[in-house]
Amino acid sequence: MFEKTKWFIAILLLTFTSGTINAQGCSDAGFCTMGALKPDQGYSKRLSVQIRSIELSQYIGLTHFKDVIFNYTADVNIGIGDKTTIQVKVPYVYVEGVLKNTNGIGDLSLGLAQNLVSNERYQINLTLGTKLPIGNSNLALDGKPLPMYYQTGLGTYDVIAGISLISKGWMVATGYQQSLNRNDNDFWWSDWEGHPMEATVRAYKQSRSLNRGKDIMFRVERNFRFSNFNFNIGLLPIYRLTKDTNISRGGIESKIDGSDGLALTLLVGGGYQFSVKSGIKIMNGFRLVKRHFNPDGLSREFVSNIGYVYKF
Amino acid sequence: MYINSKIRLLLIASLLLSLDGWSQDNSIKIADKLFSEGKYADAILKYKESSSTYQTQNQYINYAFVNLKIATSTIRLGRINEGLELSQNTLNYIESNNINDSRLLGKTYNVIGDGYLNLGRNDQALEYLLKSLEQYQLTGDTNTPDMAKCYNDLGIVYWNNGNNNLALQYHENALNIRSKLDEKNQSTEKADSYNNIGLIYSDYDFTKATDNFNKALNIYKKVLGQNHPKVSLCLNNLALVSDRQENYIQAQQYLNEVLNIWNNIFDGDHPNKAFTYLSIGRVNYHEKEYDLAIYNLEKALKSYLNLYGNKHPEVANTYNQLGAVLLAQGNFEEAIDSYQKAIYANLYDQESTDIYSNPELKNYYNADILLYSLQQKAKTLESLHYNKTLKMRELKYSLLTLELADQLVSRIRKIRLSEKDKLSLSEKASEIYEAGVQMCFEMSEMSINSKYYLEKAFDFAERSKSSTLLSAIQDTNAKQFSGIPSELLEKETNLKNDIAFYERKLAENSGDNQENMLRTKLLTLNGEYNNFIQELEKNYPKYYNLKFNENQISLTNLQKALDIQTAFVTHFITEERVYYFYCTRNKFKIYNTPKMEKFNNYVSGLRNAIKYDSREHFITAATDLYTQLFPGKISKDIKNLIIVPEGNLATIPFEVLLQKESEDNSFNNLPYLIKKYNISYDNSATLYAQRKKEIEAYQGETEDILLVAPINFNQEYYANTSSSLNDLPGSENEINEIKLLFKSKEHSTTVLSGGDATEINLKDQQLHKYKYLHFATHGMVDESKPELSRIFLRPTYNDKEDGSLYSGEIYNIDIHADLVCLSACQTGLGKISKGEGIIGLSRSLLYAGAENLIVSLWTVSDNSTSQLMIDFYNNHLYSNTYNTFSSALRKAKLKLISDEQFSKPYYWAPFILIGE
Repeated sequence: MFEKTKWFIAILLLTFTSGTINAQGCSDAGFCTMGALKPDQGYSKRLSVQIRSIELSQYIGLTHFKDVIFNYTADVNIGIGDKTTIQVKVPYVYVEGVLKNTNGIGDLSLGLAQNLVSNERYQINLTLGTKLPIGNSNLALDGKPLPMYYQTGLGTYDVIAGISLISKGWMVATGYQQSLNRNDNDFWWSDWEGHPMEATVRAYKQSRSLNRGKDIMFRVERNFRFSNFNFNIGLLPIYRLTKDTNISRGGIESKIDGSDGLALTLLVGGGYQFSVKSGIKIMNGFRLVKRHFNPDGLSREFVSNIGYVYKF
Repeated sequence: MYINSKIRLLLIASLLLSLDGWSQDNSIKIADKLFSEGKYADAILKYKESSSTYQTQNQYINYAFVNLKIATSTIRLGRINEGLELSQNTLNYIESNNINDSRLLGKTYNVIGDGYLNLGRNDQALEYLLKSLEQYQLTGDTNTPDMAKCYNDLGIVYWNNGNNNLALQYHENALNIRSKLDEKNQSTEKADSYNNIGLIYSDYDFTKATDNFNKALNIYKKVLGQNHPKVSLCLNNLALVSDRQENYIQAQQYLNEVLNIWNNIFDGDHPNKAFTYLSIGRVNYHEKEYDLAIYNLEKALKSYLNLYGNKHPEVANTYNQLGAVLLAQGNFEEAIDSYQKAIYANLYDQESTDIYSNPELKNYYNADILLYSLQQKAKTLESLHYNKTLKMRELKYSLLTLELADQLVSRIRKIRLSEKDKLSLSEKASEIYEAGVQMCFEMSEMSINSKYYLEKAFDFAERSKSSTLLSAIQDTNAKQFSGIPSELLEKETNLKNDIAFYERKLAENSGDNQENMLRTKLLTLNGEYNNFIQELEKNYPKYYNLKFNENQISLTNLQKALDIQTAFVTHFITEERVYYFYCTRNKFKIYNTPKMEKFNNYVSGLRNAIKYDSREHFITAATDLYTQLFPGKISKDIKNLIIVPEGNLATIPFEVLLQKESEDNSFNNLPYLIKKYNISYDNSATLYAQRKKEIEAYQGETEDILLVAPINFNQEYYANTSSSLNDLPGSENEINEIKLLFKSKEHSTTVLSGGDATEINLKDQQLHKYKYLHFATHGMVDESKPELSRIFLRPTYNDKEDGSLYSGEIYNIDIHADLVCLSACQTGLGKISKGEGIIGLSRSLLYAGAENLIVSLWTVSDNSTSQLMIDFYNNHLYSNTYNTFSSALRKAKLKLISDEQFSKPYYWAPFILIGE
């Protein structure tokens, strides 16, 4: 009989080694990993149910500007009864970039997932959530605010809503995210005039008092589940409905052309359960389509995420 | 003087001798009294005194008898090996002194058998007890306490190996003898019989069990006092029944009382005491007091280990119970370890290497306990996977363990002697198959090699279908092809006929006196039959090999057996799921769907809706059941459906299921399944494939038909039935028309109608020469006592041929017909037996040799039946396109559907075809 574990490992290695060329990035402002909208959710009627979990993950993102973003996240889920789960997620972010290396706590996500339908073949779950800007969105170099790519937080209060349908082999989900305020980022090219990095800085879009556009997402994922491992492949289109806007030093609000539209990511991942209580998950994202400009810094050529989940 | 002196000396000597004899008798009496009071250690001392005296006096027989009493007392004290050695020594003594006393030999074998019984060596016990029985029978007096004791012990042995039916017969016969010998109702041996009968009932009839235990208890208390071991054992048994009835407080009360008695009687370890701790642990487990359960079970275990070492069925039993507690606590690895210990405690000569290893199936003490251990180990490994590790390894080993359990079932089936016990085994085994189907299906979903597991799921499902019928048919075929002389086969038929006759008479229950006679007779016949079969197996090895040759069909072979237009459909139904197996020549798929709520109500609702003519309910039930039972699409090429109905699905005709909702709800326009497919039924894939081969190779002696129709059913003829049987005037027309159809084809016909349709006339016919047997009559099915299911013919007023052809009689008639048609009421029904399907007339006819069978599922209308049957034979004999039985029957049904008068399913749907 074919050894399935080896096959699984081979597939995972393939995703690591083949993806970096022409890879594209994710443009997730947070909702893609919130509650019911998360990728690679477990689905089994037979497994022992554990209502609490903590997931520690490390994320590496490569940007178009050669910046490398490391994200360490603690994602805690607590079940309330059979149908409701509360999620609290806190990231810690490191950015290694040509301008500066930054780090700091990221934005706090709070979510509530509610199971609406659960039957033999599928379940439907609803998520409502928010993001709170506890991270810094105006880190600076030599007193000069840095572009959003270097910020550890987005700096906005967001509301998020979404719904997903999960079956044994498939997941489809859709969600909406909207920021409720402008952030306090102050990155403006003119501040960098005469600075040795001025030319580099001009490659980044100005994001002073940035108001991020409204996003909708749609996730489709095919999951192949085996006894204690699974792998999946999915598409994650995120469409920015409205353009981002910034406010100039002169107080003029401008829409940023090219900041709206589609960002499409191909996701390939897998997981291995050490037991019912713990397992690892790996997810790689490859950019297929990106928006022309990303003043919010949410553009990755390639992302790779590895996480350890402990349920209790 | 000299003479006087001599006489005086002789007188003195004789007086001394008689005084010595008196003192000896007195010593034995005291010892017997001590023995009966349960004071075994004191009894041994007294017996030993007598033993020495007898030895000195060279009274060999008495010496041997007393030594046997010492051996028995030693066994009762729990020193079983020692007791067994003493009894073996006695046997050696008897043999070396050439003592030829059947009573003594019988007793000796009995004590040895008793010792082995206590050691858990059922096989050895049976061997010695049968020898004992043989010796007692040689004495010519079968109504002795010794004979009753031998019956009693044989009853226990058969109970231990799961032959409950036979065990009950032995105990009832022991009770019969003991009752005769006990005029004052003070016999503790009689109470022993009540106690043992209670134990057999405690598995399935709590009221009867309690009743028997109480009868025993009353006698024990009256004769032996409140604190005797037998009182204690009986209370322990009452506790077991209370526990099974979930009356835990009562059970605890009994067990506390028992424990007090044991503590007063026995210092240190004793099997009875250990058994009580085991019982307490079991009650604690049921009360979910797991820590307490473990505490008591460990006490029992420690005691058993001290007494028996780590190899004994009771040790296995205790480990099993511990495993159950640990599993309930979620300690999966420990539970597996405990079940593993239970498995190896049950094997004389194998040791476990790790918790995953499985043993070879050889040299086990108790197969039923081993089966339980294997089942529970498999279940716990599965739980370990789903609740903890998620590793495939656990599921793989769980599956291997289930497969081993399945092999064990096959072995147990070989030693099950009665049909009832075989059916009960099938019911027990169905739990293994259920676990197997479910696990294989789930493994198929989590494995890349899903086909492998789906085939295994098919194998498990197939094993759950009619294994007993299959082995019975295999047995018949084995006899036919193994060169057994015809006189022996005839002897067997006669024995089986006699057994069937007495079983039926017993089922009819004709009063106490006769009942005892019938029981004795039945026991003797069963003994004779079992010996006869053992001789056959010994003398005709080919028979043995053919009989026990595993011949279950594989999926691949089933697919090869199917033609391109035929789909084989079977269901496997659990508490919560319905598995649908769809198999064609090129495709195999399993669908696993949740069982709809009140599934059984839908099944019975469909029957009721047809019976009471409720169109709305019929349409709902027929549509919903179709959706449930056919979750997948049937390929376009398929024209024939062969269905193996599971459980109560065998009581409905699938022909009436509705494939979709219809706008036109008139009965003749509904989208019945029969409108698209020829439908026939079978008991299993293996039986289908076997029968298909036989049908294809069918070469009947003739093309003849035998038509049987009593027509008038005067109640006087059938005094022994409560049913009122109306006349069937339509049946006369039916057989006349069928006769004409056959005559026109130049086939020979034999008609037994009216007064000629007697049971004796039927049996006088050489039934095996007919290709067709057609019965237009009444039938009656007795679900509680399937042996009383019958076809009504005319009686001839003799004891044996009473006008009822009982299912037991049908089993023993020789049929070689291509088709047997029971144009009678409800002939397709019977007792639904889990893992076996319907036990009724159809089963007995298939066993008797019918290749195809048409039977009915409800009380039929005389006129529509007549028309259906005539059309059926007409199609079969004269149509080029509808000449197979299934197509001929379908066409006849479609004709009735299109006829306004008979378009309701009530008229056209009752008759189903089994076979083809």
